[in-house]
Amino acid sequence: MNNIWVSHIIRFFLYIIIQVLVLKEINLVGSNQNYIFIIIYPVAILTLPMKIPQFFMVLVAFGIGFIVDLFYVSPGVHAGACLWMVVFRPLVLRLFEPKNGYQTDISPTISNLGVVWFSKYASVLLFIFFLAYFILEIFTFVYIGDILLKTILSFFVSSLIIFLVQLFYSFKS
Amino acid sequence: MWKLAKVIVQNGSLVLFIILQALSLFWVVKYNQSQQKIYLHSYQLMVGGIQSRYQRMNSYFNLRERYDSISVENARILSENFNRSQSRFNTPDSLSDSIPIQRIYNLIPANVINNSLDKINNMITLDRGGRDHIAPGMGVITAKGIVGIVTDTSAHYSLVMSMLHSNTSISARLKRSGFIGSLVWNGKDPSIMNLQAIQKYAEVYLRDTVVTSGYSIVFPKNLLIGFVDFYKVEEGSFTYKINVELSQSLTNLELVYVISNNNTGEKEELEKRMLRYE
Repeated sequence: MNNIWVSHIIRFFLYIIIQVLVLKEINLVGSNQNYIFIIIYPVAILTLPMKIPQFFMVLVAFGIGFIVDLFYVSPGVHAGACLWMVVFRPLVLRLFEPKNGYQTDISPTISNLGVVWFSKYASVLLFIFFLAYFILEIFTFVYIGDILLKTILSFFVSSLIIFLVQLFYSFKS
Repeated sequence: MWKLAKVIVQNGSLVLFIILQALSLFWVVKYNQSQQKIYLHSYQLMVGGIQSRYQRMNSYFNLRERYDSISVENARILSENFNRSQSRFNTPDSLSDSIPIQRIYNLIPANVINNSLDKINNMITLDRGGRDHIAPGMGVITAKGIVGIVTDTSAHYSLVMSMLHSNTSISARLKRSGFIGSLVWNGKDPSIMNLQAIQKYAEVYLRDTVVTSGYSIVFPKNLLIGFVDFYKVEEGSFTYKINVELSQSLTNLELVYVISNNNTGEKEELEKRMLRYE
Protein backbone atom coordinates (compact mmCIF):
# COMPACT_ATOMS: atom_id res chain seq x y z
CA MET A 1 0.00 0.00 0.00
CA ASN A 2 2.69 2.45 1.09
CA ASN A 3 4.85 1.34 -1.77
CA ILE A 4 2.31 2.50 -4.31
CA TRP A 5 2.20 6.00 -2.85
CA VAL A 6 5.97 6.28 -2.66
CA SER A 7 6.23 5.26 -6.30
CA HIS A 8 3.54 7.79 -7.28
CA ILE A 9 5.39 10.59 -5.49
CA ILE A 10 8.72 9.62 -7.08
CA ARG A 11 7.02 9.54 -10.47
CA PHE A 12 5.59 13.01 -9.93
CA PHE A 13 8.98 14.43 -9.09
CA LEU A 14 10.62 12.75 -12.07
CA TYR A 15 7.98 14.13 -14.43
CA ILE A 16 8.28 17.63 -12.99
CA ILE A 17 12.08 17.61 -13.11
CA ILE A 18 12.13 16.35 -16.70
CA GLN A 19 9.49 18.94 -17.60
CA VAL A 20 11.16 22.01 -16.14
CA LEU A 21 14.80 21.18 -16.76
CA VAL A 22 14.68 19.42 -20.14
CA LEU A 23 11.40 19.79 -22.02
CA LYS A 24 11.02 23.46 -21.14
CA GLU A 25 14.20 24.25 -23.06
CA ILE A 26 13.31 22.29 -26.20
CA ASN A 27 12.31 24.25 -29.26
CA LEU A 28 11.28 21.86 -32.05
CA VAL A 29 10.46 24.61 -34.53
CA GLY A 30 13.96 26.01 -34.38
CA SER A 31 12.80 29.54 -35.07
CA ASN A 32 12.14 32.15 -32.43
CA GLN A 33 8.40 31.91 -32.82
CA ASN A 34 7.75 28.61 -31.13
CA TYR A 35 4.39 26.96 -31.68
CA ILE A 36 5.16 23.52 -30.26
CA PHE A 37 5.47 23.23 -26.50
CA ILE A 38 6.16 19.76 -25.15
CA ILE A 39 4.30 19.34 -21.88
CA ILE A 40 4.03 15.79 -20.59
CA TYR A 41 3.70 16.04 -16.82
CA PRO A 42 -0.16 16.10 -16.89
CA VAL A 43 -0.10 12.38 -17.63
CA ALA A 44 1.20 11.85 -14.09
CA ILE A 45 -2.11 13.27 -12.86
CA LEU A 46 -4.16 11.33 -15.39
CA THR A 47 -2.78 7.95 -14.34
CA LEU A 48 -3.53 8.32 -10.63
CA PRO A 49 -5.80 5.53 -9.29
CA MET A 50 -9.52 6.01 -9.90
CA LYS A 51 -10.57 5.54 -6.29
CA ILE A 52 -8.89 8.77 -5.14
CA PRO A 53 -11.64 11.25 -4.14
CA GLN A 54 -12.10 14.09 -6.60
CA PHE A 55 -11.42 16.55 -3.78
CA PHE A 56 -7.83 15.32 -3.47
CA MET A 57 -7.41 15.11 -7.22
CA VAL A 58 -8.19 18.83 -7.46
CA LEU A 59 -5.70 19.62 -4.69
CA VAL A 60 -2.98 17.45 -6.25
CA ALA A 61 -3.51 18.98 -9.70
CA PHE A 62 -3.31 22.48 -8.30
CA GLY A 63 -0.15 21.69 -6.33
CA ILE A 64 1.66 20.18 -9.29
CA GLY A 65 0.62 23.00 -11.59
CA PHE A 66 1.84 25.48 -9.00
CA ILE A 67 5.28 23.86 -8.77
CA VAL A 68 5.65 23.83 -12.55
CA ASP A 69 4.49 27.46 -12.66
CA LEU A 70 7.34 28.46 -10.36
CA PHE A 71 9.82 27.21 -12.93
CA TYR A 72 7.99 28.59 -15.94
CA VAL A 73 7.66 32.03 -14.26
CA SER A 74 3.96 32.03 -15.13
CA PRO A 75 2.01 32.09 -11.86
CA GLY A 76 -1.43 30.51 -12.17
CA VAL A 77 -1.21 29.33 -15.77
CA HIS A 78 -0.21 25.68 -15.30
CA ALA A 79 -2.21 25.44 -12.07
CA GLY A 80 -5.36 26.71 -13.81
CA ALA A 81 -4.94 24.40 -16.79
CA CYS A 82 -4.38 21.37 -14.54
CA LEU A 83 -7.54 22.24 -12.62
CA TRP A 84 -9.61 22.35 -15.79
CA MET A 85 -8.23 19.01 -16.85
CA VAL A 86 -8.97 17.35 -13.50
CA VAL A 87 -12.47 18.72 -13.22
CA PHE A 88 -13.38 17.03 -16.50
CA ARG A 89 -11.79 13.71 -15.52
CA PRO A 90 -14.85 12.14 -13.81
CA LEU A 91 -17.03 13.09 -16.78
CA VAL A 92 -14.61 11.54 -19.27
CA LEU A 93 -14.24 8.42 -17.11
CA ARG A 94 -18.04 8.03 -17.08
CA LEU A 95 -18.23 8.68 -20.83
CA PHE A 96 -15.78 5.91 -21.72
CA GLU A 97 -16.89 3.45 -19.04
CA PRO A 98 -16.80 -0.15 -20.31
CA LYS A 99 -20.06 -2.15 -20.24
CA ASN A 100 -19.18 -4.02 -17.08
CA GLY A 101 -17.78 -0.98 -15.26
CA TYR A 102 -14.32 -0.32 -13.88
CA GLN A 103 -12.52 -2.32 -11.27
CA THR A 104 -12.35 0.07 -8.36
CA ASP A 105 -8.72 0.13 -7.36
CA ILE A 106 -6.86 0.36 -10.65
CA SER A 107 -5.08 3.19 -12.38
CA PRO A 108 -6.31 4.23 -15.84
CA THR A 109 -3.25 3.07 -17.78
CA ILE A 110 -2.61 1.16 -21.00
CA SER A 111 -1.76 -2.09 -19.21
CA ASN A 112 -5.00 -1.97 -17.23
CA LEU A 113 -7.53 -0.78 -19.81
CA GLY A 114 -5.92 -1.13 -23.23
CA VAL A 115 -4.37 1.13 -25.85
CA VAL A 116 -7.63 2.26 -27.48
CA TRP A 117 -9.34 3.14 -24.24
CA PHE A 118 -6.31 4.99 -22.91
CA SER A 119 -5.79 6.98 -26.10
CA LYS A 120 -9.42 8.15 -26.06
CA TYR A 121 -9.32 9.03 -22.39
CA ALA A 122 -5.95 10.79 -22.43
CA SER A 123 -6.41 12.69 -25.68
CA VAL A 124 -9.71 14.29 -24.59
CA LEU A 125 -8.27 15.43 -21.26
CA LEU A 126 -4.93 16.53 -22.71
CA PHE A 127 -6.72 18.61 -25.32
CA ILE A 128 -8.69 20.31 -22.55
CA PHE A 129 -5.41 20.90 -20.74
CA PHE A 130 -3.66 22.49 -23.70
CA LEU A 131 -6.63 24.65 -24.66
CA ALA A 132 -6.96 25.96 -21.09
CA TYR A 133 -3.20 26.39 -20.87
CA PHE A 134 -2.85 28.59 -23.93
CA ILE A 135 -6.01 30.58 -23.21
CA LEU A 136 -4.68 31.35 -19.72
CA GLU A 137 -1.18 32.05 -20.96
CA ILE A 138 -2.07 34.39 -23.80
CA PHE A 139 -5.07 35.71 -21.87
CA THR A 140 -6.67 37.64 -24.69
CA PHE A 141 -8.88 36.44 -27.49
CA VAL A 142 -7.25 38.92 -29.87
CA TYR A 143 -4.73 36.16 -30.65
CA ILE A 144 -7.35 33.44 -31.03
CA GLY A 145 -5.53 32.06 -34.08
CA ASP A 146 -2.33 31.73 -32.11
CA ILE A 147 -4.17 30.04 -29.26
CA LEU A 148 -5.72 27.42 -31.55
CA LEU A 149 -2.54 26.80 -33.54
CA LYS A 150 -0.40 26.40 -30.43
CA THR A 151 -3.03 24.20 -28.81
CA ILE A 152 -3.34 21.82 -31.74
CA LEU A 153 0.36 21.52 -32.55
CA SER A 154 1.48 21.18 -28.92
CA PHE A 155 -1.34 18.70 -28.26
CA PHE A 156 -0.30 16.39 -31.08
CA VAL A 157 3.41 16.39 -30.34
CA SER A 158 3.03 16.08 -26.57
CA SER A 159 0.37 13.35 -26.86
CA LEU A 160 2.61 11.35 -29.15
CA ILE A 161 5.44 11.46 -26.62
CA ILE A 162 3.08 10.63 -23.75
CA PHE A 163 1.68 7.59 -25.62
CA LEU A 164 5.14 6.32 -26.42
CA VAL A 165 6.24 6.64 -22.79
CA GLN A 166 3.06 4.93 -21.58
CA LEU A 167 3.45 2.14 -24.13
CA PHE A 168 6.99 1.60 -22.97
CA TYR A 169 5.78 1.34 -19.38
CA SER A 170 3.05 -1.12 -20.30
CA PHE A 171 5.51 -3.40 -22.09
CA LYS A 172 7.82 -3.26 -19.11
CA SER A 173 5.18 -4.23 -16.60
CA MET B 1 -16.60 17.28 13.04
CA TRP B 2 -15.16 14.19 11.34
CA LYS B 3 -18.47 13.71 9.57
CA LEU B 4 -18.45 17.28 8.31
CA ALA B 5 -14.95 16.83 6.91
CA LYS B 6 -16.14 13.66 5.18
CA VAL B 7 -19.09 15.45 3.59
CA ILE B 8 -16.85 18.23 2.37
CA VAL B 9 -14.37 15.77 0.88
CA GLN B 10 -17.18 13.92 -0.88
CA ASN B 11 -19.06 16.88 -2.28
CA GLY B 12 -16.72 19.82 -2.11
CA SER B 13 -14.57 19.08 -5.14
CA LEU B 14 -16.46 21.48 -7.37
CA VAL B 15 -16.32 24.24 -4.76
CA LEU B 16 -12.62 23.61 -4.28
CA PHE B 17 -12.14 23.68 -8.02
CA ILE B 18 -13.87 27.03 -8.31
CA ILE B 19 -11.88 28.52 -5.44
CA LEU B 20 -8.53 27.31 -6.74
CA GLN B 21 -9.40 28.29 -10.30
CA ALA B 22 -10.27 31.78 -9.11
CA LEU B 23 -6.96 31.89 -7.28
CA SER B 24 -4.96 30.94 -10.33
CA LEU B 25 -6.92 33.37 -12.51
CA PHE B 26 -6.15 36.07 -9.98
CA TRP B 27 -2.46 35.23 -10.28
CA VAL B 28 -2.59 35.31 -14.03
CA VAL B 29 -4.26 38.71 -14.05
CA LYS B 30 -1.98 40.11 -11.43
CA TYR B 31 1.01 38.87 -13.34
CA ASN B 32 -0.20 40.47 -16.54
CA GLN B 33 -0.76 43.83 -14.95
CA SER B 34 2.18 44.61 -12.79
CA GLN B 35 5.15 43.27 -10.96
CA GLN B 36 4.95 40.47 -8.48
CA LYS B 37 6.84 41.03 -5.27
CA ILE B 38 5.30 38.11 -3.42
CA TYR B 39 5.93 35.82 -6.30
CA LEU B 40 9.54 36.86 -6.61
CA HIS B 41 10.02 36.17 -2.95
CA SER B 42 8.76 32.61 -3.24
CA TYR B 43 10.73 32.23 -6.42
CA GLN B 44 13.90 33.13 -4.63
CA LEU B 45 13.10 30.83 -1.75
CA MET B 46 12.17 27.77 -3.74
CA VAL B 47 13.41 27.82 -7.27
CA GLY B 48 16.17 30.36 -7.58
CA GLY B 49 18.76 28.18 -5.94
CA ILE B 50 18.03 25.14 -8.08
CA GLN B 51 17.86 27.09 -11.27
CA SER B 52 21.06 29.04 -10.78
CA ARG B 53 22.87 25.82 -9.95
CA TYR B 54 21.49 24.24 -13.10
CA GLN B 55 22.50 27.28 -15.12
CA ARG B 56 25.98 27.17 -13.66
CA MET B 57 26.31 23.55 -14.70
CA ASN B 58 24.94 24.38 -18.12
CA SER B 59 27.32 27.25 -18.69
CA TYR B 60 30.26 24.84 -18.74
CA PHE B 61 29.01 23.57 -22.06
CA ASN B 62 29.39 26.92 -23.77
CA LEU B 63 32.46 28.22 -22.03
CA ARG B 64 34.17 28.68 -25.35
CA GLU B 65 31.46 30.96 -26.78
CA ARG B 66 31.30 32.85 -23.53
CA TYR B 67 35.01 33.38 -23.53
CA ASP B 68 34.81 34.76 -27.07
CA SER B 69 32.05 37.21 -26.29
CA ILE B 70 33.81 38.39 -23.13
CA SER B 71 37.03 38.98 -24.98
CA VAL B 72 35.16 40.97 -27.63
CA GLU B 73 33.52 43.03 -24.96
CA ASN B 74 36.81 43.63 -23.20
CA ALA B 75 38.29 44.80 -26.44
CA ARG B 76 35.45 47.26 -26.89
CA ILE B 77 35.85 48.65 -23.41
CA LEU B 78 39.58 48.95 -23.80
CA SER B 79 39.15 50.84 -27.05
CA GLU B 80 36.65 53.14 -25.42
CA ASN B 81 39.11 53.88 -22.67
CA PHE B 82 41.71 54.55 -25.26
CA ASN B 83 39.43 56.99 -27.05
CA ARG B 84 38.66 58.80 -23.86
CA SER B 85 42.29 59.28 -23.05
CA GLN B 86 42.84 60.49 -26.63
CA SER B 87 40.20 63.16 -26.32
CA ARG B 88 41.66 64.23 -23.03
CA PHE B 89 45.01 64.88 -24.60
CA ASN B 90 43.37 67.15 -27.15
CA THR B 91 42.20 69.60 -24.52
CA PRO B 92 44.74 72.08 -23.20
CA ASP B 93 46.81 70.65 -20.40
CA SER B 94 45.76 73.20 -17.88
CA LEU B 95 42.10 72.33 -18.40
CA SER B 96 42.40 68.57 -18.54
CA ASP B 97 43.86 68.44 -15.09
CA SER B 98 41.18 70.59 -13.55
CA ILE B 99 38.18 68.80 -15.11
CA PRO B 100 37.44 65.69 -13.13
CA ILE B 101 36.18 62.72 -15.12
CA GLN B 102 32.55 62.27 -14.20
CA ARG B 103 31.45 58.73 -13.67
CA ILE B 104 27.71 59.01 -14.17
CA TYR B 105 27.01 55.47 -15.29
CA ASN B 106 28.07 52.33 -13.54
CA LEU B 107 27.74 48.91 -15.19
CA ILE B 108 26.89 45.87 -13.07
CA PRO B 109 27.47 42.53 -14.82
CA ALA B 110 24.83 39.81 -14.30
CA ASN B 111 23.95 36.41 -15.71
CA VAL B 112 20.59 35.56 -17.21
CA ILE B 113 19.18 32.52 -15.40
CA ASN B 114 15.70 32.45 -16.90
CA ASN B 115 14.37 33.93 -20.11
CA SER B 116 11.21 33.51 -22.13
CA LEU B 117 10.44 34.55 -25.69
CA ASP B 118 7.21 32.92 -26.68
CA LYS B 119 4.72 34.73 -24.49
CA ILE B 120 3.06 38.09 -24.96
CA ASN B 121 4.67 39.40 -21.77
CA ASN B 122 8.19 38.09 -21.46
CA MET B 123 10.33 38.40 -18.36
CA ILE B 124 13.99 37.69 -17.66
CA THR B 125 15.53 36.67 -14.33
CA LEU B 126 19.05 37.77 -13.42
CA ASP B 127 21.29 36.25 -10.74
CA ARG B 128 22.16 39.58 -9.17
CA GLY B 129 19.86 41.64 -6.98
CA GLY B 130 19.62 44.35 -4.36
CA ARG B 131 22.81 43.17 -2.69
CA ASP B 132 24.70 44.20 -5.83
CA HIS B 133 22.95 47.57 -5.90
CA ILE B 134 20.44 46.69 -8.61
CA ALA B 135 17.18 48.60 -8.16
CA PRO B 136 13.86 48.72 -10.04
CA GLY B 137 13.91 51.11 -12.98
CA MET B 138 17.46 50.40 -14.12
CA GLY B 139 18.17 49.57 -17.74
CA VAL B 140 19.69 46.26 -18.84
CA ILE B 141 22.01 46.09 -21.87
CA THR B 142 24.59 43.89 -23.53
CA ALA B 143 27.57 44.89 -25.61
CA LYS B 144 25.42 44.72 -28.74
CA GLY B 145 22.14 46.31 -27.71
CA ILE B 146 19.52 46.83 -25.05
CA VAL B 147 17.59 44.10 -23.25
CA GLY B 148 14.98 45.50 -20.88
CA ILE B 149 14.22 47.27 -17.64
CA VAL B 150 14.51 45.95 -14.07
CA THR B 151 11.08 45.78 -12.45
CA ASP B 152 11.73 44.00 -9.18
CA THR B 153 14.66 42.91 -7.07
CA SER B 154 15.20 40.63 -4.14
CA ALA B 155 18.50 40.23 -2.34
CA HIS B 156 20.06 37.86 -4.86
CA TYR B 157 17.85 37.94 -7.93
CA SER B 158 16.16 40.52 -10.05
CA LEU B 159 13.30 40.40 -12.49
CA VAL B 160 13.64 42.24 -15.79
CA MET B 161 10.80 43.27 -18.06
CA SER B 162 12.18 42.12 -21.39
CA MET B 163 11.79 44.44 -24.39
CA LEU B 164 9.49 41.71 -25.66
CA HIS B 165 6.67 42.75 -23.33
CA SER B 166 3.34 44.28 -24.26
CA ASN B 167 3.94 47.20 -21.88
CA THR B 168 7.32 48.14 -23.29
CA SER B 169 7.70 51.62 -24.71
CA ILE B 170 11.26 52.80 -25.19
CA SER B 171 12.13 56.26 -26.44
CA ALA B 172 14.28 55.75 -29.54
CA ARG B 173 15.89 57.97 -32.15
CA LEU B 174 16.80 57.52 -35.79
CA LYS B 175 20.50 58.27 -35.76
CA ARG B 176 20.66 59.76 -39.27
CA SER B 177 17.72 62.16 -39.11
CA GLY B 178 17.38 62.63 -35.37
CA PHE B 179 13.63 61.98 -35.24
CA ILE B 180 12.31 60.53 -32.01
CA GLY B 181 9.71 57.78 -31.65
CA SER B 182 8.74 55.10 -29.23
CA LEU B 183 9.63 51.47 -29.62
CA VAL B 184 6.97 48.84 -28.90
CA TRP B 185 6.59 45.10 -29.46
CA ASN B 186 3.65 43.54 -31.25
CA GLY B 187 3.90 40.14 -29.60
CA LYS B 188 4.94 38.18 -32.69
CA ASP B 189 8.54 37.96 -33.80
CA PRO B 190 11.14 38.33 -31.02
CA SER B 191 13.73 39.84 -33.36
CA ILE B 192 11.49 42.67 -34.65
CA MET B 193 10.10 45.67 -32.80
CA ASN B 194 8.00 48.57 -34.09
CA LEU B 195 9.07 52.21 -34.02
CA GLN B 196 6.02 54.43 -33.71
CA ALA B 197 5.28 58.14 -33.98
CA ILE B 198 7.94 59.07 -36.56
CA GLN B 199 6.35 61.86 -38.64
CA LYS B 200 5.94 61.10 -42.32
CA TYR B 201 8.04 64.05 -43.47
CA ALA B 202 11.09 62.48 -41.81
CA GLU B 203 13.61 60.84 -44.10
CA VAL B 204 13.90 57.16 -43.40
CA TYR B 205 16.19 54.71 -45.17
CA LEU B 206 16.56 50.96 -44.95
CA ARG B 207 19.28 49.86 -42.51
CA ASP B 208 19.11 53.23 -40.73
CA THR B 209 20.54 52.91 -37.24
CA VAL B 210 18.12 53.23 -34.33
CA VAL B 211 19.60 54.34 -30.99
CA THR B 212 18.26 55.30 -27.59
CA SER B 213 17.22 58.94 -27.28
CA GLY B 214 18.55 59.53 -23.78
CA TYR B 215 15.32 61.30 -22.83
CA SER B 216 14.53 58.79 -20.13
CA ILE B 217 16.80 58.16 -17.21
CA VAL B 218 16.80 54.42 -17.89
CA PHE B 219 19.10 54.24 -20.89
CA PRO B 220 21.95 56.63 -21.68
CA LYS B 221 22.00 58.40 -25.02
CA ASN B 222 23.08 56.76 -28.28
CA LEU B 223 22.99 53.11 -27.24
CA LEU B 224 22.51 50.90 -30.28
CA ILE B 225 19.06 49.29 -30.49
CA GLY B 226 18.84 48.00 -34.04
CA PHE B 227 18.37 48.77 -37.71
CA VAL B 228 15.37 49.76 -39.81
CA ASP B 229 14.21 46.61 -41.53
CA PHE B 230 11.04 47.82 -43.21
CA TYR B 231 9.11 51.08 -43.42
CA LYS B 232 6.03 52.50 -45.06
CA VAL B 233 3.39 55.18 -44.58
CA GLU B 234 -0.13 53.83 -44.18
CA GLU B 235 -2.59 55.74 -46.32
CA GLY B 236 -4.24 58.56 -44.39
CA SER B 237 -1.74 58.25 -41.56
CA PHE B 238 0.66 60.95 -40.40
CA THR B 239 3.31 58.61 -39.16
CA TYR B 240 5.53 55.86 -40.50
CA LYS B 241 5.12 52.20 -39.73
CA ILE B 242 8.71 51.14 -39.09
CA ASN B 243 10.00 47.67 -38.23
CA VAL B 244 13.29 47.63 -36.35
CA GLU B 245 15.50 44.57 -36.36
CA LEU B 246 17.16 44.28 -32.94
CA SER B 247 20.95 44.27 -32.94
CA GLN B 248 21.04 42.12 -29.79
CA SER B 249 18.91 39.04 -30.30
CA LEU B 250 17.12 38.25 -27.04
CA THR B 251 17.15 34.54 -27.83
CA ASN B 252 20.61 33.72 -26.58
CA LEU B 253 21.24 36.10 -23.71
CA GLU B 254 23.74 35.11 -21.10
CA LEU B 255 25.93 37.93 -19.84
CA VAL B 256 24.18 41.30 -19.47
CA TYR B 257 25.01 44.60 -17.81
CA VAL B 258 22.68 46.58 -15.57
CA ILE B 259 23.15 50.33 -15.87
CA SER B 260 23.03 52.18 -12.61
CA ASN B 261 22.86 55.93 -12.96
CA ASN B 262 24.47 57.88 -10.16
CA ASN B 263 22.38 60.96 -10.90
CA THR B 264 18.96 59.33 -11.07
CA GLY B 265 17.46 61.10 -8.10
CA GLU B 266 18.66 64.47 -9.25
CA LYS B 267 16.98 64.48 -12.65
CA GLU B 268 13.68 63.16 -11.31
CA GLU B 269 13.72 65.68 -8.50
CA LEU B 270 14.24 68.51 -10.96
CA GLU B 271 11.54 67.31 -13.32
CA LYS B 272 9.06 67.04 -10.48
CA ARG B 273 9.29 70.82 -10.13
CA MET B 274 8.00 71.09 -13.70
CA LEU B 275 4.49 70.41 -12.36
CA ARG B 276 4.51 73.78 -10.67
CA TYR B 277 4.75 75.59 -14.00
CA GLU B 278 2.18 73.55 -15.92
